[in-house]
Amino acid sequence: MKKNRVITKKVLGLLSNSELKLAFELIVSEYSEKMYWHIRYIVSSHDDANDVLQNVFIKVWKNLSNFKGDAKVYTWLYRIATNESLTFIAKRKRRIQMHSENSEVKVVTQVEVSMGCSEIEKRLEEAISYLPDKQKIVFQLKYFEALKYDEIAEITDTSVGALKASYHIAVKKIEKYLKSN
Amino acid sequence: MKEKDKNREDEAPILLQIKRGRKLKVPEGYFDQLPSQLLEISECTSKPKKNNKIVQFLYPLVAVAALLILGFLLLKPSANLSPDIALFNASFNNLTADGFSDNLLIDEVVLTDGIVFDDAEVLCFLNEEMQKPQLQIEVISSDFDEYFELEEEY
Repeated sequence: MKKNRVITKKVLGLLSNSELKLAFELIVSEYSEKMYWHIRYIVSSHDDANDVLQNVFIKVWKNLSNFKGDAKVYTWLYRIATNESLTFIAKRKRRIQMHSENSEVKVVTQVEVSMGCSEIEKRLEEAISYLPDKQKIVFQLKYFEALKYDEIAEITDTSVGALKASYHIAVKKIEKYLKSN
Repeated sequence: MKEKDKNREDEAPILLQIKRGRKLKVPEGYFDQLPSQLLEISECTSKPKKNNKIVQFLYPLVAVAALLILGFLLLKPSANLSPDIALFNASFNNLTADGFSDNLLIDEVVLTDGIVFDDAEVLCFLNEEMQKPQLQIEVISSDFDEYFELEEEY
């Protein structure tokens, strides 16, 4: 977490010297992978995650000069990534609904895990993919990124109490799924 | 707080058995190419424009001023009214209960057209009333003679 504060300071220093490109390079090198995983858990497929990631960094580049350091860089990035991913999902649902007679369409993507992954790890990824979008976001940020609840609250614009409840429900659902087989 | 969070994870001990890490499949070498792919954005996309603070504050000010002017123009009474219309409009300000019947502007035709008689009894009653012979007064010229004589006496 201390690292994030240092990066925010560096970015602000570069921006004050009008070194936009260097600031952008620093953000890309430090956060592109984290942002990819955050988006990947929300949108499920790799290709979609890659598209959304491009859009996120276009927005970051366009708005970088207006970044004033009110929030830490990574909080700002997660916020943009979360909003872009949710917008993408909403558009995808609408597109599928337009081509389907069924008004309640649930997008289920096949979970593809990497080689050498154990059965329980595969089941965990499957369990996460079945969570509702918001629980998926909270679980991803808490479990994998180990962010604090107040940081997640800043990213998702939700109260800490609601986040704790969401995380608790998500954990229970995952546990139930893992124990079911 | 930390203990409380830890307790929540302890509620699902099965999660603690799993090594934390991303297990979803990603094309080989994807993360090696990703930074250069993203840095192309800064070369292909136009340079970000810095928001001018003065312009930022000016937008809402201009919007409020425009709304006020528009509201004033819409609510202001028109100065080009013809004298007849102006007089007619002004007459409404002086209306009192005394002259109400004289000032009544409702057209009788509109009133009678608007009434619908559904009740058969009412229709029969009206029909009977219309069948009754009407009172007729015959006026002859000698009546006027008497009238003028009376007036002369006064």
